Amino acid sequence: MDDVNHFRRLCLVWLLASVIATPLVVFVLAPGLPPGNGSVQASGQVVDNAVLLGVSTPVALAVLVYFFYALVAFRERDQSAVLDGPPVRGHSGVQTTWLVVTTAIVLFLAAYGSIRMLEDGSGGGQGPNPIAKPTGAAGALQVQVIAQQWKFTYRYPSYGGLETADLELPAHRVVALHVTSLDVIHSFWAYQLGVKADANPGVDNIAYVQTKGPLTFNVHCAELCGVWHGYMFERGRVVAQSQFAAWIHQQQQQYAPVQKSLVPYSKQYFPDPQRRGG
Amino acid sequence: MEASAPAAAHIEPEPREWQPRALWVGARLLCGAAAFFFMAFVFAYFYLRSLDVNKSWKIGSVNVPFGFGLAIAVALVLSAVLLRLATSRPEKVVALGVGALGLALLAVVLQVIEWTTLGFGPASGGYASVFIGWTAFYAVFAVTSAYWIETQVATAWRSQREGVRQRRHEGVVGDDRELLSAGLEACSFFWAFYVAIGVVAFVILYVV
Amino acid sequence: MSAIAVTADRRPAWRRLIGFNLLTGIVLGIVGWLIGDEIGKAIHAPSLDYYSDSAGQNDISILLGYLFGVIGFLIGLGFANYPVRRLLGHPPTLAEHEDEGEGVGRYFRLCTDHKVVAIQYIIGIGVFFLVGGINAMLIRTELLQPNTHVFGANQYLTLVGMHGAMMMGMMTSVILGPFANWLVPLMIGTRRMAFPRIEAFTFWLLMAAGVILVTTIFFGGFQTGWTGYAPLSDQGTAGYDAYIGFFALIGVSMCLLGFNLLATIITMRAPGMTWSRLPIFVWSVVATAVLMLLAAPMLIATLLMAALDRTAQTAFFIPGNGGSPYLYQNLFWVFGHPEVYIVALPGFGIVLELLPVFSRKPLWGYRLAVAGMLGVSLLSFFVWQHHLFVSGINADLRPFYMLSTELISLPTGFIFLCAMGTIWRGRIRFTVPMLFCLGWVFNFLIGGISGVFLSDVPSDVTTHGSFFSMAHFHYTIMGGLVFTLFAAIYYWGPKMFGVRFNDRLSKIHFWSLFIAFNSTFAPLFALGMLGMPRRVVTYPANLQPLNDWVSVSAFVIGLSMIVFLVNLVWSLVLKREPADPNPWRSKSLEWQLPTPVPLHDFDTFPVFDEDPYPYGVERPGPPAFAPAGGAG
Repeated sequence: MDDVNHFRRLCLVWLLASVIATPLVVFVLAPGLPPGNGSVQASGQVVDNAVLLGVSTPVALAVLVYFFYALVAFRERDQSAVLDGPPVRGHSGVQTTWLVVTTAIVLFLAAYGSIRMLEDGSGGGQGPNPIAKPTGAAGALQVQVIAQQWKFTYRYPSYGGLETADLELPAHRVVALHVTSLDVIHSFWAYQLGVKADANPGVDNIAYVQTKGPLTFNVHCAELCGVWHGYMFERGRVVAQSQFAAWIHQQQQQYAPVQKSLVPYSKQYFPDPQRRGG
Repeated sequence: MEASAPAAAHIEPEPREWQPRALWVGARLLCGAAAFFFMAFVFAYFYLRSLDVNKSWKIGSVNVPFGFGLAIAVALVLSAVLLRLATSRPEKVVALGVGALGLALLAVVLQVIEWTTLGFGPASGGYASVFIGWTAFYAVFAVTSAYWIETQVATAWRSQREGVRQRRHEGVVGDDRELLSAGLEACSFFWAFYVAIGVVAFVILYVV
Repeated sequence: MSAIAVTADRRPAWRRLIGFNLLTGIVLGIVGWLIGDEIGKAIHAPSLDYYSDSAGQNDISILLGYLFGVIGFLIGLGFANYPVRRLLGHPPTLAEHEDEGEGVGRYFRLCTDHKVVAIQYIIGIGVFFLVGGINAMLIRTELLQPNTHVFGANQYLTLVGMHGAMMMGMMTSVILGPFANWLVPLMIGTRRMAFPRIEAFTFWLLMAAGVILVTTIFFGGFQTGWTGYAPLSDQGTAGYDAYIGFFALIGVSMCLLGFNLLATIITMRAPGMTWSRLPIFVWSVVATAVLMLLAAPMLIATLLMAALDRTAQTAFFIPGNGGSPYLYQNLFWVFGHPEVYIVALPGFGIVLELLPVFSRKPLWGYRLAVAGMLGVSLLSFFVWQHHLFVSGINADLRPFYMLSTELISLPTGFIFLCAMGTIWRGRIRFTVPMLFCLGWVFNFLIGGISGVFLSDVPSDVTTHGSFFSMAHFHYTIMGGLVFTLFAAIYYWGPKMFGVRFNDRLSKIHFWSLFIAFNSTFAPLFALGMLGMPRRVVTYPANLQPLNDWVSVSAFVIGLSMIVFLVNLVWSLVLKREPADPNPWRSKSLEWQLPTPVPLHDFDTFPVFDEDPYPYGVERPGPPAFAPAGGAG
């Protein structure tokens, strides 16, 4: 059998496999992928994952099918003699095609990822000067996330710099999370919201999230921060607007005695350098 | 302790230009490594300076003595020039090499004196950190390079006294002369490059 | 068969122990440690303000102890002899202890024969590979339950850090150390490396580094993982000093290894060995060596800054005093990303070197493969900030780093294309080395494609710092490096050791490893997606079934490694069935030499007049040369 026939059969197998597998992956597997539908950013990530899976499935299948086919078709049947294959050292047409195709895929992926990221920041921490803001970012609720070994606390500057031990966010609202740290590097990961932002000491790292309906989400530190890193997790809640107002009021009452001795709200804090400690 | 002399005559000798060329190439490669090492400090300098975290680039009165920096840089440059001159004057290698070595060590000594008389300590902000770190490791590697210079001088001195030895490795026929001059060339090239890094350090740390 | 007359050592056994060898090295190493420790104690370390010295927390004395210990160790091995002779003006020589015969003794002292160094490397690194592997087993044991049950949090993090540092630090040399040192001279037709003493030096430095890392357990371990992020490192216990000592020495060793390999390949190619005739493995060594030479110094500088922060109270990484944690992250990853390609690139070379042999075809697309390797090497310097996509640094540069990261898949794709072209219409034989190469193809494909998700910012927000990224780099590093390492051992082992491996055990090793590997790391993608961050000692209870599955699979990997060890002992020590000089019927130069390879490799230098893959062409066979000793 000559090259062309082999190649035709190979392409047929690949097409068949791709046509079956790709829709399965994109429409059945991908929508169920984490982090779910908890916020606009989280569902954006799910869509993004679906697109990446859609592109990479046929690519992976091409390589796998090729190897599977070639290994079966060109296996040495006569183990006794050592015979050589044809001395083919390249094929400029194939090489050019490969280069063009892979370049196109890569450029598409990079462009797609950049555009998606620039839409709303995708929930990632963008530092003190964010370049990608979701619509309505100007009126966003500002919430500061303060990480320290080994606890997150939260401050609400629009409510007098109130500092709370738990995170609650109003539903259907744009929230700007200002993530910072008092000691070492932590990372604020609100899983169901699709938010991750490193907490660096002395840095105001802003991540935007657009909440949807009420839900409970997991918060976990995602950067190794010392001995009790594994225990640095908690739960936060997204609640209806009215419930949020009530909660804030209740918190202001509860923490009123502490509030007086708090340092004033600031974008970053510089406690004495801790050279040694935990 | 040395390479086995080719006992059997049927071993083809190694091409005699290999080792001198390896020295030539090696010196250039080392320059690359040295450049990347100090690039980390250059990066640290500009990074911390531009961030100026907590307004602490310089805490208090952090002023380095310009005169010391200039003296160190001049000593280094002179040393590199002398060693480079030695490569083209085989008969004066020992004298020029001793001069280069002395100036290199003088630079290190000046550096140590400067540290002891500084008006600030390592904890006085980002600039102080970079200054201490950079000059410290520059001095350490300068001493190492001074060792390299010393070996060249000592070899030249001994071969003047005892004559150039026959090359004994890998069956190469002929004497050590081209190997020795390649070693000197490699050493002087690296030293010149290293001194250039020192001049950059002077410009960045004292002038900018 | 050696052309050199070997004089047998007739001294009594106890007398042979005295002299410059490993034993003396260890003794002087301990002496050096004690001296350094005492000097350090005379200096007031800032750590003493927080801990008393009785807790062994004086950073200065510990670091000086390591420094002097290493110096003592090297002096004991005899590394100081030649520099002292040079100091006195004695002329340069190029070798030491090469002519010490066939005895085992030469493996325990400074020997500059590139074949001896290679064997030293493979055994020495193998021991530390085992240590790193056992760490992994212990980590998985701890993760059998969602809460701490075997180890405490600190012990667990130390295990994680040691495993990471061992595997990412020492294993950078696991292919280049043994195989490049052994093969490069044979493949390019020379008898030695350009700087044989430096070659031996890199090995012994590595051993010292490994021991230093293990000593961290005496100083409270380190809590930072292999990345050693500051400012966590600034407050870490004294065990972090071991991390600094370890990684800085690894950096020096790596840098010098790359330096030596480059100098050798550039200057010492035999007549006719033009750049376009270099075996592809040598090209992969070139690409890797460039990275080692240039990236490793940055690592050393970074770690020295960390050491200064901890001892001299500088403030490179302490924000309150004008430093920045970002500085560490940037510097570390400028080194760190080339570093992962230092780990991956030799594997590319081995796969492309072996596929022609077992497909009986010339390498397809030689120039493309070379371009791919050099392309990876070059691009890897421009991608480091993808490790910092959510760190809040330079948000406006993210599209650039996204693009540059994804661009790396182009040259990597070349490697795949060349592999695919090579097997097309070949006569493929499924030997054990070939199986490992094919295992690489599968693993690296998964690893590469999962990398796309990490390079894409929106996707990365969830997967970053989670078990997903952990699974990704284990697919590329373990699936890439370790599989090609075994391919190389099974392929060149018969030549290096002169014995044949047990075929059945080798095949059991491959299949158990391949299946257990995938069964271990594929579920980790899911775990990461489900929200499990890296380096945690606890996790949500609902993730326990998956974690248990992973742990059990990991133990099977451990069993598979035991099969390998049994195979090694059986074939190398017990059975010692002599190997065919060319069991694979390979046409490359190294296989045309007799087994064992004679001391001086070639009596006359080979002359090359074609590329190294003359399969299926009329004039078959090796280039014209007479192997040493006249045997064929």
